[in-house]
Amino acid sequence: MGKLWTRAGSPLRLLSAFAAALILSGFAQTTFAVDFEKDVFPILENRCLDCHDSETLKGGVGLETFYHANLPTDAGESLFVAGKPEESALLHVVKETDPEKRMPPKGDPLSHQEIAVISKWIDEGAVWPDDGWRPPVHWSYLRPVKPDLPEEEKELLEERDTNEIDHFIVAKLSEHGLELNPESDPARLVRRVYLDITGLPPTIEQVDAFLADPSQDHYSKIVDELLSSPAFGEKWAVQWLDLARYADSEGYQRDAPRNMWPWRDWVIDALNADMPFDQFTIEQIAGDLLPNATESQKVATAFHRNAPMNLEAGTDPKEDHYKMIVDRVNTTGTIWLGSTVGCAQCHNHKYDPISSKEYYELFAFFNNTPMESKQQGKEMGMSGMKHIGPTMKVTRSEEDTLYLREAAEEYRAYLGDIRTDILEAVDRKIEKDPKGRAGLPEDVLKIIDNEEEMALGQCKLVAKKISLRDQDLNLRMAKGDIMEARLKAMRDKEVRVMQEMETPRETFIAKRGDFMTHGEKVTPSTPASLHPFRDEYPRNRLGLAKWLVDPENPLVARAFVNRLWIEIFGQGLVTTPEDFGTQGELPTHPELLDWMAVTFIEDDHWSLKKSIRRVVLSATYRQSVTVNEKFAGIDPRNQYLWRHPGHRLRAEVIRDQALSISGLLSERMHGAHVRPYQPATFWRKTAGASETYYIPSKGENAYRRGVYTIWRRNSHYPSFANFDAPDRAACVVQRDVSNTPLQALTLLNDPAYVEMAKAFAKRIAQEGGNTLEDKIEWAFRTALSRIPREPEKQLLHSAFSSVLGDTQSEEKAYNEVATILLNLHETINRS
Amino acid sequence: MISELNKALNRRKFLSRTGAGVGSLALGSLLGKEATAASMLAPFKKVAPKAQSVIFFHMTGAPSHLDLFDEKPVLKQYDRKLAPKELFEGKRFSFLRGHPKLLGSPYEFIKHGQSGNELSELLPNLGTVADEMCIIKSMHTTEFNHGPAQLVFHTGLNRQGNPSIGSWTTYGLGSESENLPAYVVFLKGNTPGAGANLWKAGFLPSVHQGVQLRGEGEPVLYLKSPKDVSREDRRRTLDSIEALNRQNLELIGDPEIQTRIDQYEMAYRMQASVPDLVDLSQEEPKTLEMYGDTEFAGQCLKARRLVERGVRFVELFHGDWDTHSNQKNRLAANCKEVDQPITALITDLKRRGLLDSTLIVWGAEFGRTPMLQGTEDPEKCGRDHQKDAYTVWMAGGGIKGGVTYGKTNDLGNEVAENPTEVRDLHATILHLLGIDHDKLTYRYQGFEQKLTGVEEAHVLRELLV
Repeated sequence: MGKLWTRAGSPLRLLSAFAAALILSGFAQTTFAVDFEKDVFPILENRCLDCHDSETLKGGVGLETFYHANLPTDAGESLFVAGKPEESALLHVVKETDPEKRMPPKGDPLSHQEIAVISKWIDEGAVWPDDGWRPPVHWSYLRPVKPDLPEEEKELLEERDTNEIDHFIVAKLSEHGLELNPESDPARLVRRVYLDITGLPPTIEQVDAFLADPSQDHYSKIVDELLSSPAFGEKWAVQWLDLARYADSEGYQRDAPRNMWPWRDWVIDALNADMPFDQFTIEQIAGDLLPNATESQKVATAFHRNAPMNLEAGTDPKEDHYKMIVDRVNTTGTIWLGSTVGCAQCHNHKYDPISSKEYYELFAFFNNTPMESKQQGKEMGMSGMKHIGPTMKVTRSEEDTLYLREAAEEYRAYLGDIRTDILEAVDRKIEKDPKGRAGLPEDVLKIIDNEEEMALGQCKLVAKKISLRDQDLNLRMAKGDIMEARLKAMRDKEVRVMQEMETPRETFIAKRGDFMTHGEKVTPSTPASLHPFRDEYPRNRLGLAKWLVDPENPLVARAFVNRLWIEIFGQGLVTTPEDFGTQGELPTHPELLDWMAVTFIEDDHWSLKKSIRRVVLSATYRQSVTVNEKFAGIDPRNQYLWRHPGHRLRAEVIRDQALSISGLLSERMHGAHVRPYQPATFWRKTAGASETYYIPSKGENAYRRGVYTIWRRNSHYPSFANFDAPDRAACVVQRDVSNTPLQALTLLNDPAYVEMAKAFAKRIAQEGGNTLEDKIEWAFRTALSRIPREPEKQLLHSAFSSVLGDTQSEEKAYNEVATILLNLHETINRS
Repeated sequence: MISELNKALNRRKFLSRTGAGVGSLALGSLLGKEATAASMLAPFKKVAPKAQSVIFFHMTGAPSHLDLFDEKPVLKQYDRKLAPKELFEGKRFSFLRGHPKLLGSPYEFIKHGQSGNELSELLPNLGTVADEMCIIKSMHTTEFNHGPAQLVFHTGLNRQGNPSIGSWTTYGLGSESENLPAYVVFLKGNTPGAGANLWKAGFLPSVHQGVQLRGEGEPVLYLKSPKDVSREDRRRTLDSIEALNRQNLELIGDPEIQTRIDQYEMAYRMQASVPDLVDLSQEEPKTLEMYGDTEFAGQCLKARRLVERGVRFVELFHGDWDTHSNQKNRLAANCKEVDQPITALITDLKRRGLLDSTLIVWGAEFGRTPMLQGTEDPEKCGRDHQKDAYTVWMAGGGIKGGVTYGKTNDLGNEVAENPTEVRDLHATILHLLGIDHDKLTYRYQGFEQKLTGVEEAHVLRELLV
């Protein structure tokens, strides 16, 4: 960074001290104008630049360059207002009498002379000559240009089936003395690509078909088939749900249920239809504002209604609304700008060119939706808050109707049992009462006379009136309430959506992020350092959405491609996917990132499926996972992809795969969330929370794919949490990949996995062939696709025999084999 | 050769965030040795540690400092009188509206020990260890609703998604225990509003999240093998899994496979160590009697057993202290529940020579108003939330005993002396553990994130031994 004004020790300093003395001597004020360079800057340099140079920028304040000095402070104030010393923040802080708040914080306060110089300089117009310094434009803010394909190692590239991606990867590898691994063996490869595209493993038949013809041509046909399978959307939706912080509950203290699943189904369907990402974006950010918006386009806007909401009693609805909008701005910034704009909520972004003002200008786009919660009842009380935001009814599909009918039947049977027990209790009461029936209150009589139609509320009333003390029955009735509410939610099929208010709400800078402290008023606009907001775009969410996917946006495609890379390789080309800004990591393969980003927009027209196809067809993807020790020494983190990373499967895929292997997996799609087994006591009572009882799903719904599992923010499904599934309280770009003892305990002991092992064991016995050898090979291939090597077969064989010898139970012996296979590292990893 | 390579890779991976898996970090936090080795190199370990472990009590819902620690004669004098306007005008409360009245504390305060540390009559047992206690009467926070304020108290920020102080601690120091998780959490009563976010690792690797030892059912979820599986059966299965994993390791050479093998072994050890930990029948009857026979007493005793076993951070949530109404009965009942066991824990740690290396922290998300909420009936009235002033206390672990720090004003609604920020408390706790809070950072979203955040935090040096 160029230093702009001569540093201490220059002859100018002597002069300036002289000038200051003259100024103070009174008469000089009229004769000498203050000179910035000679008089003012040396004071700043001496007293301020330790903390406020262009690198430290403490509190977002810089006093070294014209550029920084002219930025508003974190609180949205101007450091100096020409001609108005009394309005200049700089003068306020140096004149402050409270030493805790005064600047500079250490050493003596500025002298009266120094203050007088600054004041006079401001009074005279605060002329700060432009030194021409501007922050350098960071790579990610420049629009990507499609680079030429590197031609290094051409022979290597021609030796095997490669595509454009490999040009970039091989060039980088060769630069570091590394090479691509040989192609993976076909069985591992086909399992890998099935898991990556559909989240489900191939059957033995599907593996055999590929083994019979492992050509690139056949492989690419398989890829196309997988991309058009409905399972594709169920697998790829999960990353988007993490980004969109999708959940089935509100979050915070009450964490009450919310009904957002119609939006989750919208995502699955949009992905399966390969909706171009620009359209996918526009519909979710502003589908409601499209001309003649369809139902589906409105449902899409539930995206930003996924923000967590605080329904704790005593919450200020305005404050919570502000927080939700902050969440919307930040989430939008993370996904479409790869930027941590959230920092600018409280202060000028220290490192990236987004000011507080620009943050609230983005905020203004979202600040035009109605309030979403209010206190229940007329007066403030302990009864908590309720949701009042816009919702819409969604047309029920045939599937919905089927699931609804099923749920209604289940509830009817459940209620029937409760009725029977209540009526029996009433009978007992009548028997004991000398007055018989006449001893019962009238309203009870009226209810029981119409026993076929006794609703849950009436059952409860009767129980209360006859003073029934039956804990079990009370618990069942409490659960009945939850079932009833769920049934109603399914019947209504409502989803929360975005809606513009007719009269726009005014937006102000919230000083230091405090929504109560209004700063300057702002209007919807986008940061100046990014691509322009076209004149034809309306200044509302629709305009913002179009701006986000404007091909001029230098970040949108890079961030997209990077997330795709994470989903497939476990790590991004930029390893800080949430931050492409100046504090983020540089891409490991900048040219590849840009090539893919430009190709994504220009050639693939925003198609996710085409991008995935290109990646999984590359030799880079198809190489083996084997660790080459020499290369591991050079690149221990495998940043340059000298092997396929073979990273662990995601929580949902681990479960889906195990369900598939065990033959339990339900193929049902869509619909309200389902609740696989978890311990009854896992949902503890939270103060003021609703839904404290977990009611496991019955029948097929206990074995649905993970994407449909209930996501309760304060207590999400523990077997997913143990495998790093986030609680979705906020946008998550990349999940952790931990390796913990709790994972071992889950796979070994979670009754859901124990059940899967049992079912798998049964399949081994029944479907595995005639001999034990056949069965072991069948089991191994069902779990891992590849044919077991001799020592592996022997190990499983002796495991089987050992258990059989001890227990004389074939069932247990098969169960041993099944348990072992479901717990292998290779089973829960790509390989 | 493979194992040499593993070590090299593990160590390197430990020191940098990698997308390729944080298996080695899991080892680090949960197996102890690796982390100890790595953290020796860490730049944040510049302070000589006083405390090896922390036992952190959070009284969910926020106890009334005015009835327990901070006696206010003026407030008693103006009991049931209309509150002065400056107490409520221009301020926000969860429930108070209109012109509220003041509520003087109905309790006597008693000076204890040599220090004369003052406690309410509701905490008679705690009085016997008053000379160990350092009472901070000048805490304040930024949030006045439970969820966000609890998040501030644990993570420094009012939003979800940030690591708790326990996660930061184990991230910094790893564990001394080979058989138990480094960060253990107990809940008594309602789950706090902010839920598991209070003991989650946020953006830190997930191995640093607290593991809840549950009261109902198994202490660790899925700890027990299925009913028909004996310990020998389990050993046999694990041996087969390991043998096959080892085959794979030899072929592929991925160090994550070694970590997986180690974690299955850790799981197996936990199946024995956790039941052993929670088996209180090993304790002497006198000890059991000292703690008392309640769920919370058992948790306090387990906290000591955890610390003895090298667990780094133990957190106990106790609720519900949110006394908007019926404060009289509820406060007395809550105090009765915590007074004896917490006193017993301090006494027990002391006689075992563990108090000097164990830091006790007792606090909550905020305090309560001097203004009365609800009816004036002394049985039924209560107090609203108050963020601007409240009390926490600490003991052991290098903190000065017999000290009272900070003051509130006459009505106890604002800090009058030595205002203490939550981040100051955090900085002090880390300092006692030997960690420079400014240097314990983790790179996330482009920043070196830290528990104490972007604003300056101060170690409360006057309170250190």
